[in-house]
Amino acid sequence: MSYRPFYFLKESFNSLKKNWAINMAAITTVALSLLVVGFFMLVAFTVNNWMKMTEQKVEVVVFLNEGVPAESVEALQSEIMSWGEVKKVTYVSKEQALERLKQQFKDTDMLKMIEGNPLPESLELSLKNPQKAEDVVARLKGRSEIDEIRHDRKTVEKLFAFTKMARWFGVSFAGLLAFASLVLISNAIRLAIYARRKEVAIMRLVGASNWFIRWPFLFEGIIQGLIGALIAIILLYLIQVSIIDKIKDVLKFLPLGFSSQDFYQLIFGLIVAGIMIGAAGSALALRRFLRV
Amino acid sequence: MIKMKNVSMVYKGARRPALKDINVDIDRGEFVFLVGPSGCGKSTFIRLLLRELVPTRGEIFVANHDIVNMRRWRVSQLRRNIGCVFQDYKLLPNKTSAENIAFALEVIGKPIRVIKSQVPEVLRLVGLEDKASSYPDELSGGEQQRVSIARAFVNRPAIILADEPTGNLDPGNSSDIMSLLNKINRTGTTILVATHDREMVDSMRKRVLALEEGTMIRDQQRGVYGYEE
Repeated sequence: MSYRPFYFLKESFNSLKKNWAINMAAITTVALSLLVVGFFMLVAFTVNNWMKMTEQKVEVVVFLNEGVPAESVEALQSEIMSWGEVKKVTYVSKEQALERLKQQFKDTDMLKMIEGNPLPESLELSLKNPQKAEDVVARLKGRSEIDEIRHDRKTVEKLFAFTKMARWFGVSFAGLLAFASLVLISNAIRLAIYARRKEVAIMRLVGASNWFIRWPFLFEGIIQGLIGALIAIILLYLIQVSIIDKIKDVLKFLPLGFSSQDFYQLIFGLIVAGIMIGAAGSALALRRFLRV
Repeated sequence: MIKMKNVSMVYKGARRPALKDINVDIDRGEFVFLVGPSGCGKSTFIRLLLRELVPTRGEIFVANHDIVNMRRWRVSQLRRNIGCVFQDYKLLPNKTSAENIAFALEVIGKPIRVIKSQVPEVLRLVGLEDKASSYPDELSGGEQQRVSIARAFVNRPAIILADEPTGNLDPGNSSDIMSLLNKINRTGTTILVATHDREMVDSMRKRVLALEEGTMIRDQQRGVYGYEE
């Protein structure tokens, strides 16, 4: 048995042309659902990235008052170091703080607004267990050397909750759309089967194998899924260049965005998802409407 | 070539069986008429041989293969060995005669080389070499049926099943079709024709299987139609 891929492809494309309206509907829903998935994935990548950066940062920052003598600072540092919850204490001088700021804003005009060095000295604390941040903060409060204490745990937590919600929302919305595209593809394939019922009847009679009969329809579904995925990818790319990159330009200091590797992985995933939706949709139609 | 042992077929929800306790043995190269009034079970008989249906009881062998317990994926192999001709020709309207015949070879994966040599040959056999590029609606009923016979025969099946092949044809065309089937029969192909065309059966004097209400009431060599209508 010699299978001819071109035969199947030709049949599939002819059929796609014949029912173009219903096929467009199917392709559009695939594109839409994958676009939603892709968009939420991009958001998730961005937030993940951001969270990684925050996690690498220290959990508690202690800003010191102006003019505290170096010995007191050292004493404070070693005292904090002796606490069980604390993993690491780093001293950041005024000069170091300014240097960091310069790094962060190196492409913006903001530095011009800074005169001299208004930044305080600080101690940066990494904790063994971030949950204990509240205790540490409570113990540090009220000391004369300390001007202000800041810890980012709340922000991180909020961010966590937000991504979780976004992920849930994205997944369920995309799932709903994926289901709709499955139904639409299956419907389109059903029409294709109906349009070719005479050919199918003759194929069965002369002994075409079951898969020979099924392949063109399966291909048709896969092509629909694939086209939908490609449309979604193009739209995502446009969104990335037109929106996210613009935001990045404006908010340079925020670690927005994601690596291009992430984006390639997303493209790959969307293509696979499109093919799977297409194949599943036509398989559904084949099971129900094609007697072989 | 075809063997049925105690075959009964009861359709789902039907009260009486469509076929009841059929025993038949048809040898290689025989020409057999299957006769009987409408609803006597002729079509069921043919659909059983094609394994479009599985009998409720009994055994069926085609070319020594047990087709009752045949695996689904092997059914297509069975059908490649059986050519089919129908009352309504079942030609694809958007394909020419040659393309209709070629289609039957294409979909079982025959190489182009084989298709190119076989299609003209079989068109010649049915006497339509000059209608190779005509579409079905440009052909007469008799010509369409000859294309359909060509399509059934092009893969050189061991058996040809014809279900009312002359049902839509006038007597002249009918006898052309029958002599064509006779010609194919002489190449060694087993032929089973289901019909209620009395004149044809009576004139050809072949083996006759007569069905009535699902029962085989007669199996006669060199038989006649034999029903009063």
